[in-house]
Amino acid sequence: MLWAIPTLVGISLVVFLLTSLLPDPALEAGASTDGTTETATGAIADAPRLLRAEEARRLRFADLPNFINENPDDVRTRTQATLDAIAAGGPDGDLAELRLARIGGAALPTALPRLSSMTTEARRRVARALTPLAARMAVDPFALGVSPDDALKFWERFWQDHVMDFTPGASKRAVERLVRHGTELRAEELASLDTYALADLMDAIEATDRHDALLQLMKIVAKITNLAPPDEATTPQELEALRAQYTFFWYVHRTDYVPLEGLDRVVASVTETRYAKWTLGAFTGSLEMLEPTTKSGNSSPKVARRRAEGDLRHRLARRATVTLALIFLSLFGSHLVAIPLGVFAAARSGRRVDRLLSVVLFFIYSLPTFVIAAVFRGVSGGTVVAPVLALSLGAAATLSRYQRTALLEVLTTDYVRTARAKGASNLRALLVHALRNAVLPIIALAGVQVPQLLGGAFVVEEVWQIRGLGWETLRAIERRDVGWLVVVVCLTAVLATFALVGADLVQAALDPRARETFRRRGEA
Amino acid sequence: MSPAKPLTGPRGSFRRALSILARRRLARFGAAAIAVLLWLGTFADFFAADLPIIGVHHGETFFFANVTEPATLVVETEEEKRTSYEFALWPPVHHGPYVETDQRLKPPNREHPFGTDARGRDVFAQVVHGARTVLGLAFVCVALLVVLGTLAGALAGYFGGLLDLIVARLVETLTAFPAVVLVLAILALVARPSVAALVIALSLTRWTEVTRLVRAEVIRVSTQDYILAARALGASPLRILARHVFPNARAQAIVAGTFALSSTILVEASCDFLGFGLPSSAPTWGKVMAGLRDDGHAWWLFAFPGAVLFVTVISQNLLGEALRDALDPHRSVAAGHERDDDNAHRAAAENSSSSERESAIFQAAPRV
Repeated sequence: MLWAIPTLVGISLVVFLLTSLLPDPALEAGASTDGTTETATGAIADAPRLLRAEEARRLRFADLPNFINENPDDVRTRTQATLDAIAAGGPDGDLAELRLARIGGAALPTALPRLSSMTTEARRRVARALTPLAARMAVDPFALGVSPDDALKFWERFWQDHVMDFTPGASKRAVERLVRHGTELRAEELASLDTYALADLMDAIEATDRHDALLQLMKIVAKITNLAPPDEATTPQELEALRAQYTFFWYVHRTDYVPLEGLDRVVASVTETRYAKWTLGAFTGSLEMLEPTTKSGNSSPKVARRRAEGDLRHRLARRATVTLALIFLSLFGSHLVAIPLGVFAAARSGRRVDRLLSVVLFFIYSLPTFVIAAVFRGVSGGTVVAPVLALSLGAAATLSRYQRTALLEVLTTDYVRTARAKGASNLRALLVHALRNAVLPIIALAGVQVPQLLGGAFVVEEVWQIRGLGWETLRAIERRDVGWLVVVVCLTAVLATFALVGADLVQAALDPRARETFRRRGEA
Repeated sequence: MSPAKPLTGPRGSFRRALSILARRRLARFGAAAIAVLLWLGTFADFFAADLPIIGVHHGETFFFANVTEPATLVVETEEEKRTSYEFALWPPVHHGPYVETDQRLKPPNREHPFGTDARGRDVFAQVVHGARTVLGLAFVCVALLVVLGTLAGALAGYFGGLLDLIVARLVETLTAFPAVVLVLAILALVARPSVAALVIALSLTRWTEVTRLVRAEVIRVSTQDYILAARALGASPLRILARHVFPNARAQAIVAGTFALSSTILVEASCDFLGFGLPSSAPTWGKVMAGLRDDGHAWWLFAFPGAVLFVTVISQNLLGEALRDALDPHRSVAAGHERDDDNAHRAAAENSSSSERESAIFQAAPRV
């Protein structure tokens, strides 16, 4: 039973290696497409393209190490890196200025105290980089002045005045006040913190269910990041979809805005890796958001609708019910047919009926499910029974072949001969004495049949267009929905493992000898 | 070979296995059917092609024009085909599997013995050329998976320990995992679907059977005295594996490989039928059969490739079962001391978590 866990980890590892270590067309496209450049001047002209490519890599967690992140980046190291690049100058410096502006307010506690140790030229460039930030914070342009030196003076003064605001407690309180009162004044208060409050804002967005508060919070977040903002006409359903996008953004970009300290840092060395991000994302359904969802990236209405339709877990439950019903009906049906058929064949073994039956069963056994399904579909059309029959037929053929063999083996044993010698009729010896033992392996086979039937269900659902797991998975392949695929693969593995374990348990319950073996193994 | 001829070769050897096989009518049928299919596939261009086998065109003679000459000589209509050559030796069907004509969805007729599909391609040509694709693909996959499976099984069985544990778990999980789901998932998860990805995916589905059988055999053999003797003589593990252990497991690998062949073909056909199979223009049986999903009345799209597929799978299963019985010394006419051997086998298998139940269950190709 415990093997299910390492098996699952193993499978997730394999799937992860498949998806991430092979070349990804989207990444290459992001690196090579020459997007229309909005910024026209010199070295910066290339920057939007580079930033877009970088964003594409980050959406797939390609910027992170695969399994262990010895030195996870946080807002401090990222800010420090941009400052160093700005000080070094050149085209990298230009890019770093854009990056610094994107980090925004969260960079200030690291960047501003460090200004004094930098060269004049570098300080001017930092001041220039912070201009868009000032605009977001609604700083009076008059206070900022015209020359970089004026701006520098402003930022020094700003830091002296506001150093107390840039503390975790202060930003948390500010967000709480906003959620409670929701006045413009509170919104302005938060705007002056810029991205420094983003962590608390995101927490609030996840926790809040009030439409108006959510709307206001998201507007603030949209202003300081480049996520698509909601508008007044947004319905609660659309807002829910938008919230999922925001959550995913935060899932990817959290360390851009939050310092990692102490225990957080230790945890981050495991979680801030490609594998961890990817696995967690797959299981929480966040990987569905693989397409970029920022303003520049498009989020088509179709995609938004699909997201609004219901999250992964919801869809999974709905589809799995259909498929599991199909599987268990077939399992039941095939046993119901196969056991009597196998007994009949064994009782008549060697005669013409048995030989004929063997040939027919061998033929059915060799027919692939999709052929059976297509033929049934053509003959019967869209009745409810046909899919179950199509699925059961192959399984029934397999099972009755085994039933016949198992019963024949038991019939040669001494105890059956003894029963016959003591005067039991042929029928009684067969049904009462032999079958009791011969039916055990067949019931154990049910465990193996379940995953096999699941494979068959994929085909049957597609042929009859039944909206189960298989049908949905084929649609997921068409739209390359990695999240769904990963979950289905893992679910199948769980089903396969548990079916095997379950068959063992059933056998142990029915067969005293197997029970004995289990006990001995347990002691060993 | 007459049935009365005595069996040749020592028990369990290939010569003996072959002579046992030759006695079984069904095995003979299976082998013959596979031979015919291989022959059809290899020489597909002699049965259905757009260009004549030998043709004289404007005084110039072409041999095997459809293989040697690119599309320059292809003409559209049947009329042109007759008139544009001074002399031509045509294959029985004058259509290749790729060229689309305006004869769409025609039921079987004189010109197209198996009818045409929705894009006006000849179904007979696709079936014959498909045999090449399907069998070629299956043989490549099986070669790959037999090598992979044998290696994994031999190493796990011989060295035991953690490696064995991991391999055994992997085999157990993958055996129970539905093959179609696995192939579809792999094809969907790789960035670009390619033939190589399909080959790898198909190989990954069925190597477990080879590994399981080889591993059990290796475990059985490893405890025997002559291995101990070889080790005492200072033979390296690699040499022991290659010279003393592996020859015992060869029969198992061959049986599992034969079953894997039909299973691979079925999985590939199923994926093709679902529309996610071979990502190339090459014709396969599954792709033709998938045409039925759009045009439900066109039975000929399904019946002919389906029949060929069925015959292929049946004959491979027949051959596989016959081979299994013939190559297994425990199954064929068991003598007294062979029984002991059998018990040792069982004990070894019991020790190594692959229980008797499993070996009873998976002795045939899993259904797809």
